Amino acid sequence: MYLQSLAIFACVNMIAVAGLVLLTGYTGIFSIGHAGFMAVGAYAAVISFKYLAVPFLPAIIAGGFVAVLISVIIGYPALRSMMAGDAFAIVMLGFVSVVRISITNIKPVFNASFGISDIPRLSTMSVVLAFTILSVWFMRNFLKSHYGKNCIAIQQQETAAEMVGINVLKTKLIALMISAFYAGVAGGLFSFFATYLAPTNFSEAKSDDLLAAVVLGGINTLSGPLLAAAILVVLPEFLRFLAIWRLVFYGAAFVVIMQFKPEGLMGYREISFKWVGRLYGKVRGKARD
Amino acid sequence: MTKQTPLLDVSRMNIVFGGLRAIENVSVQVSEDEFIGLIGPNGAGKTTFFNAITGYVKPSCGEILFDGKSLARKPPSKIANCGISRTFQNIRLFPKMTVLENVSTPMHSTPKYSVWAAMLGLPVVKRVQAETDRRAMEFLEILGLGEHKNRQAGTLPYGLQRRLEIARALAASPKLLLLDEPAAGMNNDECSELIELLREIHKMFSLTVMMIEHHIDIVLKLCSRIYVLNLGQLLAEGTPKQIQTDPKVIKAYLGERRRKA
Repeated sequence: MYLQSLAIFACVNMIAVAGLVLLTGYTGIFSIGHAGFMAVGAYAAVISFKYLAVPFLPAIIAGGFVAVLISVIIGYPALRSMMAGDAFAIVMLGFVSVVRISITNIKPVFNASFGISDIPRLSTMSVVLAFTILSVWFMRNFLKSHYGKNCIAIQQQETAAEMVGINVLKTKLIALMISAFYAGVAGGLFSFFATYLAPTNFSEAKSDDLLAAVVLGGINTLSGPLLAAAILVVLPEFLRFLAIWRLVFYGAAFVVIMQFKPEGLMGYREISFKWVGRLYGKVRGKARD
Repeated sequence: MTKQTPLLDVSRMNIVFGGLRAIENVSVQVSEDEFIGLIGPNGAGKTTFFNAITGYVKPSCGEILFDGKSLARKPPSKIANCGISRTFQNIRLFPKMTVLENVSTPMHSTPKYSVWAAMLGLPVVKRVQAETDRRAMEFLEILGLGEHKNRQAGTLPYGLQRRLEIARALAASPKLLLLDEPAAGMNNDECSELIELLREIHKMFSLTVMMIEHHIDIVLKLCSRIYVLNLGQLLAEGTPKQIQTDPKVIKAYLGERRRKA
């Protein structure tokens, strides 16, 4: 059970990180408030399940779509005014606080800071695994398509991207919407596993977790951050005795990465399984000899 | 010089940055198939003029008509899709993308399939991608970059980067090509190569070209008509011969004080 819950947390983290890879790793927009979208998705899913009697799976998807809606409300004005890099990151930092504080103060339905309890545990291993595989597969396809290439173009040279005819605002907005959807779904799945939903579940620290995975994993790569996301869930479990040092470790890791390998550990590369094939070929060749 | 409806018609354009008049009452007409030179001393407003046409800078007043349609209020990406393509004075490639990917970006700036098709990885995605790569490859071959197609653009030598930027601008299949100092930083051999290249693409794609250039011999060899800007104002306009002998142009190149706006 312990291992299973660890695996589910890792999967949920991977879904959210897959979304953030598109926004930060490919389009180059830093978001230090992605947990805000997780919170929105989680509350939307749980409330529509508990109060509107929506079945589990549609509720999760609905959570994703509500996160998309919020992302447009936040993102359209912020991205339209050409708020580049840092400014947008700060908008997101404000957003995650606004979400948390608003929910903490809404008594009806949201139950303020007490949170919503008695959520049935419907996020089983198989459900979460299916969601993870599907969302990673969708993201991989998207990143490899021309949409993904346009995102990279914007990240590398925004002026030129605009000059060759890429609608920068639209492309950025699509990236933001998709990544918000992923975060919303991840939030929903998480709360249907934790069975308890409180505003503090998705604090700024959670956003740091997600961003850490992308920064450590690398830019212009999907497999790197996914691996990092899983490791960042599993590793702290083994290093429980160092728990209070976790954020210090993140800070140190950020500094080291930015100093020595600014493109991240796996930047511009995907994890390849070709070596498995080669190894297999070698072993078979030896067996024949 | 045909004087029917010009492809690009800029009339009495003014651009003001705070107290500085970067462009003052400049009118320029470019007809189809022309090869126009835009010259002038440093800070004359040549690049600003290009920036205004491509939509990065909004003119304070005046009108820009392209193909009979006004470009005012259009964002740069829309203007690019209308058929105006440019290169930059300081090279702006996508450095971490391959040479082939650089050239194919203008072709898929508006993807021909939906977001959903992209996520589901439908067969149409692969088909469009293969088609785009094939067309991009053609442009690379024309510009002699075929052998470098899988190299990262940022690792190319300087001359090839300039060439790649031209290839990328052409890949947008523009009607009007704006070149901002294509020969900057090139030696004599590279310059004469560039002249040949530009002459060829001007013919091959039946393009209209407008070029900012400081190497005066390149301008004289290529351009059918030349506009001279000085201190934000149009100083002279005419054939290379007229420009070479114009006393005002000669004086401008020797120097004059900028009037306070």
